[in-house]
Parts: sequence; structure tokens; C-alpha cells
Amino acid sequence: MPSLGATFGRGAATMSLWDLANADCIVVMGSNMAENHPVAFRFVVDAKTRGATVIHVDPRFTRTSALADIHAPIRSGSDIAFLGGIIRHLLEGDLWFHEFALRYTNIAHIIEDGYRGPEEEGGVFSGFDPETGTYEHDTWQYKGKLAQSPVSEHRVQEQEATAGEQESMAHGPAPQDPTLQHPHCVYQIMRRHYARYTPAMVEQATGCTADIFLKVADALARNSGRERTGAFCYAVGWTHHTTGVQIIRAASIIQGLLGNIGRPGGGIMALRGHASIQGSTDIPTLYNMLPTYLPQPNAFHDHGTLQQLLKTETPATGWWHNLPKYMVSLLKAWYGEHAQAANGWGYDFIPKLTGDVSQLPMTLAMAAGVIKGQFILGQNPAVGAVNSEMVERGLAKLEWLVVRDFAMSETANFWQKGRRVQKGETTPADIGTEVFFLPCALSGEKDGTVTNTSRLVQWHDVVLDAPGDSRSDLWFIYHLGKRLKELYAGSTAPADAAIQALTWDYPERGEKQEPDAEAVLREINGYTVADRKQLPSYKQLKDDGSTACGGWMYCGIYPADGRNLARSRTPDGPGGPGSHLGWAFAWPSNRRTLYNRASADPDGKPWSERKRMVWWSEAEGKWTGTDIPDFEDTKRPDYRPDWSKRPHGMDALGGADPFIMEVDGQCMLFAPSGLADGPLPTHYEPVESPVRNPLYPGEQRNPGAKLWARPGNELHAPGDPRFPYVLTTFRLTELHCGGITSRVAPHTAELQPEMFVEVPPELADMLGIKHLGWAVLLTLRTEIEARAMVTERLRPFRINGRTIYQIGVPWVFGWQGYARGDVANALLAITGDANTSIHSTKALTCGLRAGRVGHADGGHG
Amino acid sequence: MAEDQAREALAALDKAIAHKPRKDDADFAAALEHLCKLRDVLLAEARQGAAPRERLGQVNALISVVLAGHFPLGSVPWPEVERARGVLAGMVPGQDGP
Repeated sequence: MPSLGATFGRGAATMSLWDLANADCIVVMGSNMAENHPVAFRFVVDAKTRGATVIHVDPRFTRTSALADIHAPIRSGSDIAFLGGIIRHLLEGDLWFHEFALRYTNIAHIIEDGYRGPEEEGGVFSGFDPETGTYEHDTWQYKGKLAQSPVSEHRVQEQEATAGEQESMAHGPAPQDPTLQHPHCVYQIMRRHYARYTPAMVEQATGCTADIFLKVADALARNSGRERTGAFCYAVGWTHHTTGVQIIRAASIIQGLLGNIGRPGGGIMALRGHASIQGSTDIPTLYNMLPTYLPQPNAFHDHGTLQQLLKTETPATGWWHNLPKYMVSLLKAWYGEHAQAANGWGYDFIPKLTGDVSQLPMTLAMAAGVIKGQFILGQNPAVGAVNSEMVERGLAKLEWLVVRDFAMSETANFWQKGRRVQKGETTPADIGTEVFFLPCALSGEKDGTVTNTSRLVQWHDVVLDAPGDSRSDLWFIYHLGKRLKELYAGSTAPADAAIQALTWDYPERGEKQEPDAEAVLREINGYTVADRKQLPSYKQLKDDGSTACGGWMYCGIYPADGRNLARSRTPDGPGGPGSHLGWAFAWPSNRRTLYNRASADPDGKPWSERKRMVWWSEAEGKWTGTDIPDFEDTKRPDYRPDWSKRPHGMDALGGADPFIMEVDGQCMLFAPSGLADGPLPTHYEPVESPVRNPLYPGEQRNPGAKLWARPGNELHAPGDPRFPYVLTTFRLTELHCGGITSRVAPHTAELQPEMFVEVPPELADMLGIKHLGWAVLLTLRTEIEARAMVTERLRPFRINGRTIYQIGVPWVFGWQGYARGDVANALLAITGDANTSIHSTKALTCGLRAGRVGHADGGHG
Repeated sequence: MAEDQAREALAALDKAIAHKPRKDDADFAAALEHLCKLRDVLLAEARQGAAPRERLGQVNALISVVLAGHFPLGSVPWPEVERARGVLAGMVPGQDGP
């Protein structure tokens, strides 16, 4: 989540799930939370019971809407127009929390003279290069400064600084105008930027009527200030757009303006959770990060040596000035005695990035024959990845494919039953891929942790052994690693030195030689190299090779031998503080609410008794409260940096600068660095849209969007009459993610037995589609069929004087299991967000007709 | 066979360098296709002990750089692509190396 990272400092939910119950207003947007995060949604219901206003902004009326006070329907992909309208409403109505935002955000900071916004530049920001489709960030900077972004997810795309440039932040504070009159202060820039996001424009762009929009905006404004807070909850309904990062940024700006960060019931809840998604970015399976968000070196940046990397990437000011300690400790954990000062702590062993090797381009590279083999663990891309027929083409080009799952999946038997085989485009005999299907253990059959959506790392023990030859993923990776090490043990090739140097010595247990998962967690926590004692805190990590740590943010989870805090299960009792610090471990430092220094005013006093969390205790000379303070324990609220000494690190942040991962401790309403597609969120239409961009007619879609048009991945032009309907995809409570775990289980399969498409009655009448009859959805990629669910849960939108119909399909069906249906993702093109390359699944266009594939209204062709 | 693939890859890469696409380009795709075929030839030869592995390592590195032009992180790294072009030219008889 580079949006949360760029704005606040860390790419993670800012609050705990149960803290939602303390909110006075909750906006669920980009999520059908009641159905897809039902356990978390209980805290929304708790808040409502206590009097909170619950709002659901979504194209469909779902169970979440049914439990909300306000349902605001918007056209898929128009989120920034809606949220931008709220920002305008807060600014023009002077409804923002002045005391908070003036002191804790960069609202008063002055931006470079050369900055120009999309209002002035025809829909793009200054620094845009139409030849390359990328931005230079120079004009987005604080005047006379270079403010690096926090070292968080997806940071290193372009090199932000040459070594030493970041020193400008240690020379003095960024220029500010607390009167907010300077034409280039962030406040004035935002006012100009959002001036046209009026309620009428919101209605025109989103289809949500101005009166409903204003109800939402006013509810948020009303529940802000010293006594009240509000929260946003979102899921992939926001992230899965080519503007996904900027949608989340827009909500972050609202929360910064309203003082809804770091306070009880205030924050942004990034709803992840399923399959440990938060954990998979913390200890990443992503290509461009080392564990706990350390930067993956890039072969084309100034990263040739560890020293160069650290000089280039270490911010001069703020907490991330500690980066060298975390990097060196990671290298010691990975390479042990082979990591020495003389060899840059083994830095050369780490692979260096060259290009974008995220899932989408690699799918295309696979289809082009670049990739020879692939491991698929915990995924079912033949169902879950966009343009699934392109995925099948890629799989068919591999020499070998290893799939680990607990039941046969579509990815494992694509060569036999895949869509391309069904359609007669290929035959099993034409596919040369050698597939190894290996049985895996389910979560109850193995030890380990799940990191949930609020950074809570919870341990689970094996309940019963996996049957037969099923093994845990940990077992598979560990024993694969052992065999590779054996294979390369005698090699003298320099390229093989990395695998030879890797520490790979976890204890094994039992007949199956299962590696000890707690030993892995102990290594992630970190230890002293000399006597291998567990470290209680990342504050003790060093950059001299004396400490080893597999993931600095997790340090403290296993602070001493025999103390696995992820196992801890002590909730607060009735009347307790409610932070539940004894329940598992939340990174960092077991802290539940990030940036909680902001729960106190600049003088260190709670904003109100009702909303107190962390405050300065003069008697104790430290910060205290109901949560672990997200601040230096003893830094007084009145501490101010002595700029004459050119302070670095935390010395450069004052006692009232709560966002310690940022270079100046401020919430970045305006992001000078860290984002590929603009310092402020701007409404662009989805790549496929039936309407023109009403705000920037010259710039239809995000100019930074990642597009890969090619045969089989063609895109629909805006307004293409063959594809007039807006299509979104969604999940179902009853069928889990890629579907295999629940589609093969009869009791869940029968709850959602068949693929369907939700169609509004007006559109169904127009097209002759009957409820429970067949319908065909068409795109340039392919066509699929589904049973029609004709429902008023979807209403026609009036967009700029036209009626626009929105339809929706679940994406969880495939050809395996009891509950079957066409793969919805086959309809989608491969397109990606400008910052993350994450796929776009929530807003595209399609055609729709009654009947079945291959016939106008007959049987299956 | 290997020379033919290297020559085809070089011709495609020269076209890409001449018109400098912003990313995801047919010439990059063609260069990659031929480099991958070259890789397959060298791999087969190396497995038979008929060719040293150094050349295979070079071709793998070339694939990484050309792939970075095709799927760039940010802008296309043209200086590196041009350097890769020099290395590739060195594999084609009659062409100047780096």
C-alpha cells in the first residue's frame, strides 16, 4: 500500500479492527465488508450500536449496504471524483480540524514555484514527459528541499535522490506559511486542485445524487474534531484500479484534514487478511522488496555497493535514518558468517532488479516464452488472475510447472480442461508443459503465523497431521532449498556463491522432517550474533554486524527464548483499556494504533477525555497511555530540533511531529515523492469506460497506468458502442478467494452453486434477459455465460445526461469442484496501477446479451 | 543457429534503439524472442558439454536488460540497453563489440 506509506509512513492499516467500535462514523467504500470480512464487520456493527453513522459507498446494494445508515451508489471507477468532492467540501466549507491539520500535516508547506496541477496542465501534473509517460518529481518538492518518501512498499521505481541530495532536510524545516495565504502552500494548491469537484460534478461523474453525496460529506465532517472520530474501511474495490493507489490517497487526505489518524476510532482500515496478505507484504513474496519493506536493490540505480545503496536510499531525517541497521542485520541473518564488513555484508549475493517483474508483465513474458518454469503456491491464477486465457497461454509455454494445492485446481489441470481446450483453441497434445501437482497441508495441518489485516501476527499450532504425502509450504521451500544447496555445494561459479552462503539450518522434527516454524520466527525477530540471544526490540539492532534480524518490524515478537508473543492470548477484560496488548503481537513494537502521538494535542494532552489514547506524562517524563506510544518514549512535546547542528534521524523531528517515518514527521496531504502518478489524487476514467472524463476531457485515463495492449489483450476504446455496460467483479462469502477450498466442499458449494451475473431489471427488460435465464458477457478478450440474477441491488446511473448500466459478476468460479461456472477473469484485460502494477478488476466495459455462448438463446456451444 | 538468433536479436534491438519506445514494444518483443531462442541453443550445447556456460550467462544478462526495456520500472533504461546492444553485437560475427 504505497498510498498509506507515502501519506503516513507505513504501508499498513493504521488502526486495529476492534478500534472500529470506537468510531463515530465509518465509511465502507471499495469493500463489501459484511460479506467479505464478516468477522471484522462485527466491530462496525458494534460502532453502529453505540450510535455511529455507518455509510456504504458502492455500486451494488449489498448486505453491507443493508446494515448501513446511508448507501451511496457510485459508478465503478469514479471513486476519486467522489472523494475529491468530499475534500473540496471540507476545504470550502472550512470543516476541517484546524488544530490537528495545521500542526500534524503538510497543509502549510510551500511547494516549488514550478509546480503546476492538472487544472493548469490539461489534466496532468508538472513534470510529465509525454514521450515516456512518466513524471519527474522536482516540481512537487518542498521549496528548496528534497523530501524522500518513506522506505515503504513499491518505493524504488525511479531513483528519488542522488546520494547526498536528501541532506537538504537536515538543514532546516521546510518553508511554511501558517496563514495559508501563500499561493503555493499545500492548502491553496488543494483548493485550486479540487475547486471543480462540486456536488454537481460529483453527480455528473459518479452517478450518485448530490443530496446523498452531501449527506456523506456532512456526516464525516460532523464526526470530526476533539471529541469525535471517523474511519474508512476499504478492500480491493479500491486497490484494483489503474488509479487504486490514488483512491486510497484521497481517503488519506480526508482523514488527515479531519484529524482521523492515530486516534481512537479514527484511521484507515485496509481490509486485507485473507490468506495473510498483510504478512505476504511484510515478509514479502513481492518482487521489489526485501523483508519488512527494505528496498530491493536496482541494477540501474546508484546501488552498486551496499554503501552506495544506503547513501542513496537512507533519508537524512526521520526514523528511516536507521535503514543501515536494518539492512546489515538482514544480511547477517541471511548469510551468517559469509556476511562480513569486507564483502559489504554479503550485499552482492542479493539479486538486483532490472525491470518490472511483477505478476502482470511476467504473465505476458511467460506467454512470450521468456520464462521456463513456475512454482504456484497458495494461488489459482487460472481463476484468480485477470485475462485468464492469457494466463493459460503462458502456462502452456512453460517447460515445467509446479502447483501445490490441497485439491486439484484449474491451474494444475489447465492443460486438460482449461478454457482454451474447452473452446477448441488447443488440445492437451499441443501443450508441452510438464505439470507437477503436489499435495499441500491446510492451515490446521501446520504450525505458523497469520498476519491479519491490522498487522496482528497470530500463531497457530498444528491441529492434526496432513494426510498422505501432503506437506506444508514451509517444508517444501525448506527441503527444496536444502537440495539446491547440495546441488551447488561444489560449484566454483561466482553466480552460485549466494546459494552457498545462505544460512539454511532450521531444526527438523519428526518422521516428515518438518522444519521448526518457531525457529524461523526467532530468526525473523533477530538475535545477537556473538551469543545468539533473542533481541527484545529493533532499537537494539546495529549496523556493525553484531546483530542479525530477518525482518526488523517484527523484532520483539520473540523477545526471549521460549517467549513467542504471537502465541499470547490474553484479552483485556471488561473496563480494560481496550487495546488488547496481551493478544498476539502487532508490528511494530506490539503497537495497535499507528501514529498514536497524534491522539494528543501538540502540548501532549489528549484532544479530549473521550478520545484519549497516548499522552505526555510530565511526572514520569515519558509518553504513556492505553497503547504503546508510536514515538520516542522520552521526547518532550516541546522538543524542537537545533537546526544549527544539522540534526539527522529522529533528532530532526520535533516533539509534536507524530508521523515519525516521514522525513519531517508530517502527514503528507501533498506527496512530494513516492508516487508515480501525481502528488494529489485526480479523477481519471477507468481504462475502459463508457463515458468521457468530465473533469479533464484531454486526459481520459491515468497517463501513468500500466497497459500492455497486444493480441489477446486488446482494450476497449472509451464509449465503444459494442461494450456499453460497466462491469465490476466481486467475491462471495461462501466461496473463498480462488474458490478451490470451498468449491470442492459440498456444504459450501451448495450455498453458491453456480456462476451468475447481477443485472438491473431495466437493463434485463431492454435485452430480454430473464431472471435465472442465461446471459452472455462479451469483451474483446473473450465471452462467458452465466445465469442472470435480475436484481434491484443494481440501479441505472445517470451520468452526464446518459443512462449508464452497471452489472457485476463473482470471479470465484471455475471448472473444478461442485460449484462451477465460467471464469469471470477471462473477460478482463491485463492492465495495472501506475504504482503497484496491481491488476484492474473493478471497472471495465462489456457487452451483454440473452442466451448462451455460441447461440443467441440456445444451449452451450 | 546461435549466430542467426543473435543476429536477429541485434536487428530487432537496433530498431528499438532507433525509435526509442516508452515500453512494451514489438521490437523489444522480437529481440526477446530471439534472445530466448539463443538461450535455448546455448543451454542445449552447455548440457552436452559442447559450449562454455559463460556465453549462456551473458545471454541471460542480456535478457534481463532487454526485459527491463520491455517492462521498465519507470523509464526505459536506455544507456543500459545500448550497452547490452554492444555486448550482443560482440556475439555476431562482423559486428563491433562493446
